[in-house]
Parts: sequence; structure tokens; C-alpha cells
Amino acid sequence: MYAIVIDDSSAMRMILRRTLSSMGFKVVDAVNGRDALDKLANLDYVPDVALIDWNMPEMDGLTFVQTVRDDPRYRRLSLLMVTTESEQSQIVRALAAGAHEYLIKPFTPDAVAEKLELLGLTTAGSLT
Amino acid sequence: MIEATTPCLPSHEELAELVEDVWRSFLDDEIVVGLEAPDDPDRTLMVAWVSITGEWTGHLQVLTTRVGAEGIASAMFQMEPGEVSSEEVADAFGEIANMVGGGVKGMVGVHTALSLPQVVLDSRALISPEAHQHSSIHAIWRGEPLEFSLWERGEKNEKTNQHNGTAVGGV
Repeated sequence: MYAIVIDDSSAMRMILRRTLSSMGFKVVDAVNGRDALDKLANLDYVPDVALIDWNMPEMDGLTFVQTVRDDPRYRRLSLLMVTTESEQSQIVRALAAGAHEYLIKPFTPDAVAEKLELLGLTTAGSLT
Repeated sequence: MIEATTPCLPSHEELAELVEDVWRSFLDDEIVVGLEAPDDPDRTLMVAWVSITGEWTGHLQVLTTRVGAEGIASAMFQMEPGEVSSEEVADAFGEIANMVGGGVKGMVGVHTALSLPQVVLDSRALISPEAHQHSSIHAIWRGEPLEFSLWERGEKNEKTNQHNGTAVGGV
């Protein structure tokens, strides 16, 4: 399984990388939506899941979601927003834009695992 | 969550719960909140904050010592305190403000936007014109003091409520 973590915070990228690695994912990361699009274009595979922060400089998470949802190359990429944006209206907005799941910070590793399970990417108890 | 038309700011208890959640989730540790302010106003403190703008405008500010901020970074990056760079300290400390501020934004209940976090090495360099402190909580973690405060921009607002239903504006 492959994941791309998109967050402008290096601490958050580290935390998500650690969590995903413990579940067996190979992880690449990007510092914003624009960087993620560049990284995706240069990979010779499409990751199974993108974990996407909302508030980032240059290209935010919502714009990234809208962009990849319109690109047939990334049809099989599951989009999981991981953000402090917790209002119902923001969740609806992200899901309407094309996000498949939504995880609010702060989160626990178990919460990440649950969302990945909902996306069909892990099974229960996959955290090591 | 029901979105209100009147800003509804978190109570001290809700702010404390937010902080405790962040500590448990990301630092895998407990933080002691609800303390008296430390009696050392001249201590040099780092400050991290995020601004919330829109139908309610203010910011969430976090203060701690350099040692406290290094401890946060070392816990997040799982490194020794002396190994973390200044950039990593600023990034991790700013992310704390981002997560607590994001939680506050979600509680305010009106349409707002959250800024990217900012970090300054010495809180004495920070001036917040036209802002007044709505609430603050003091905490201690690994022996270092922390303060989390919520600031409201503009005149004290009679329409701003607290989650327990108590009007806090104009008091």
C-alpha cells in the first residue's frame, strides 16, 4: 500500500508518516497541494490514499482535492482530509469537492486506522 | 454540530479539554491545566498563534518557554530536545496553536477562516492592537509553564456568548 501525506507542518507529516508506516504503508510526503501534484506526476504509481491538510500555503487541500478529482489518472486515489476544520459546513464542502473521508485534528493513530478501514485500505488491528 | 448565528466562544473547561486532547493525541502525554498564572512576568516566552477571521475575529495564542517549545518539538519528532532545530521547534509549536485554534474555530459556530500559524521567539515583541483577552488557561508540562489564551478583536461584543450560555461581552 502507498500513501501520500500532504501537510505544510513537518511535525504533522512526521506523525502521519509514523502512523502509516506502522500499518505497512510506504509513504511519500508533500508540503502543499502544488508540491503534491508535482510529486504525483513524477511517481510511477498512483498511491492508494492521500491524507490532506486543508490550510496550506500556495495550494490548499480543498483545491488539491478538486484538482485530482477532475483528473482521470487519479481515479483510484482515495482522498482523506486530515484537518482542524471541524465545522459541519466545512466537512460538507470537502466531501462535495470530492474527499472520500474526513478526519479532524487532533486525532489518534486508531482514528487514522478506522478511516483507512472505511476506505477499504486496512483491516481492523492493522496498527503495529 | 449546529452552526449558530451568534459567535459562541469556548468556556475555560472546553478550552482545557481541547488542550488535553491535543496533548494526549500528539504528545502521548498528560498536561496539567487549570493552574494559577506563574509569578514571573519577566520570563522570556515564545508565542505561537493562529488568527480566526470572519463573522468573529480574534486569535488563539500559546505561550511557553523555549525549553517548553523544544520539549513539544522533541516529543512530536521523537528526538532528544537538543537535537531539534529552530525550524522544527517553530513548526511543532505552531502546530499546537493550529490544532487548539482549529478547535476553537469549530466551536465559535459562525463562518470564519483560520490563518496559518505564526511563531515569535519573544512574546514581548508581540502587540495585538484592538484585541482584548477573552479567556486564558495556564498549564504545566514537563515542568514548563504554558498559557493558552483566546483574544477577541474589536470592541467587547455583547452578542458573543460562551458555550455555557453566559454572555461574556462587556463585563
